[in-house]
Amino acid sequence: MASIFGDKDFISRLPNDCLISILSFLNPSSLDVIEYVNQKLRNLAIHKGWKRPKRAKNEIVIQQVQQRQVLLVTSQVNDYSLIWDPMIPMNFENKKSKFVYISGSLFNAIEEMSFKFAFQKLKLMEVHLDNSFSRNLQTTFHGDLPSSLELVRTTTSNTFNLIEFLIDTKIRTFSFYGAKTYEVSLFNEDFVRKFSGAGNTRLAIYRYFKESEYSWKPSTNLLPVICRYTTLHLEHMIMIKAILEELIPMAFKLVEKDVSWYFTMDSQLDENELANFNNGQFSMEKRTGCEVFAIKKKMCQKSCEITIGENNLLIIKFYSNLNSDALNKNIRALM
Amino acid sequence: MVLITLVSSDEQNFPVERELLKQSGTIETLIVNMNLDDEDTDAAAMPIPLPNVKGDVLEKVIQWMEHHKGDPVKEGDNEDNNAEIVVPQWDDDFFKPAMYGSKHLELTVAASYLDIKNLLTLSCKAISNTFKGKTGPQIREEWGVPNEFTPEEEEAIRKENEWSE
Repeated sequence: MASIFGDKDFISRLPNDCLISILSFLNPSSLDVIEYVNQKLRNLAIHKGWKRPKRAKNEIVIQQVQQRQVLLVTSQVNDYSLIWDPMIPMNFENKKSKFVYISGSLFNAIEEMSFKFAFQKLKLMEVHLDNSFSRNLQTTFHGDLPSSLELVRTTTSNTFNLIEFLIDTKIRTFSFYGAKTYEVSLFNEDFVRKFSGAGNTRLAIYRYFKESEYSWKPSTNLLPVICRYTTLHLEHMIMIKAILEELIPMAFKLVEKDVSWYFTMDSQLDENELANFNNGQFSMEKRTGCEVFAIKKKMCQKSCEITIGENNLLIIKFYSNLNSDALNKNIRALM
Repeated sequence: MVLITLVSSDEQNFPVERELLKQSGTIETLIVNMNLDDEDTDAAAMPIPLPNVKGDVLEKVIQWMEHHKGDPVKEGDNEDNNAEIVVPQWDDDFFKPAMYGSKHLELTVAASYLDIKNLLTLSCKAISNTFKGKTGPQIREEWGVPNEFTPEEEEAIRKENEWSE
């Protein structure tokens, strides 16, 4: 064994598995430095066959721009770097554009990115989703997609099952902006139940239209499921007063964290409509100068705020502790 | 106390306490395969050859195992916790004198060959600690690694990584 260590450069002569073990102790910055040491260490540092410690990044974005898809990455809000664009040639040299060329297809570029970086969120903007895209995406991320998915004005093929995709990829937080009428119809009571059943607590579906044939009213069976969500933005779910009167007392029992829920109220909600919450168990008061109703339960640290916004938008916020920072901040903002 | 004899590549014999050898997956497998734990087997008469480990390295390995006698044996890879592993002072002092020479690296290779996970982990961690906070040229200088890259190649690597900070 000793004969192979004849030169002064002993470290390069270590077997690859030992070198990989050494590299696995380094943080992402040190691994970047290692790439400069020599070709052997560089090849190992960028080799896809090991679990390289990753640098945290905020979002990876696939965006449709004029008939083509581009890839962007952001580490801070609104600070995007263009990573891959099939229309930009390899010798592009404008540093101000923050452009980095990665050869190969869009999915090669994603694979390169996901090897070095751990993304919190995958954002798909105006892209067309079909089964092939979904398969490629899962292969590229080696089945380990970012836990949060945001769709913005995406379209889907008839055969693509968005709900299965969300469950299979273990997406924990899902937001959908500009959902088409058909797509909104997917996010019905059954989906809300299934998504929660997969252990998820954050779901947001945004829409651009006020009324829809796909709006639906929750059954009382859904109320315990709603209570499991910390964020639930379902404007196409129409809340009726009788259901709301069941939801609030149930939430006081079941909700353990601060939560925000957004629904649409079927009709105007005023102080009189909520008067039932002024009873022996609960107290309700309207905050001065705004459409915010605060509900408290006697002998309970939790607190609830109900806000009625434009287009009957119903915002329900629960605070698990009366002294929570979030509640204090909200109260200060209202004063 | 049962002793088992290890034979290094340069034919040196090392009688080692049976209990210590539980730290080495490779030797443990050989002991089982050779039935050395059987009461009927004369373990002293059946030395274990280790053709991939030189005597001076094996001596260091045994010294390390003696110090770590009774430590829980690490099982499987646990890469997720790598950042939290700290090289204890005794081990740091043990590795340091030979750190940048061939001996420490031979010890690391021996730990890998003998499947002594705790030794391999601490040895690799100690090497990786020498990289921290250094530049590429500094690491090359300390470890005697020739620079294989042209200035153009270095620039290409720099460009590849510049946006990622």
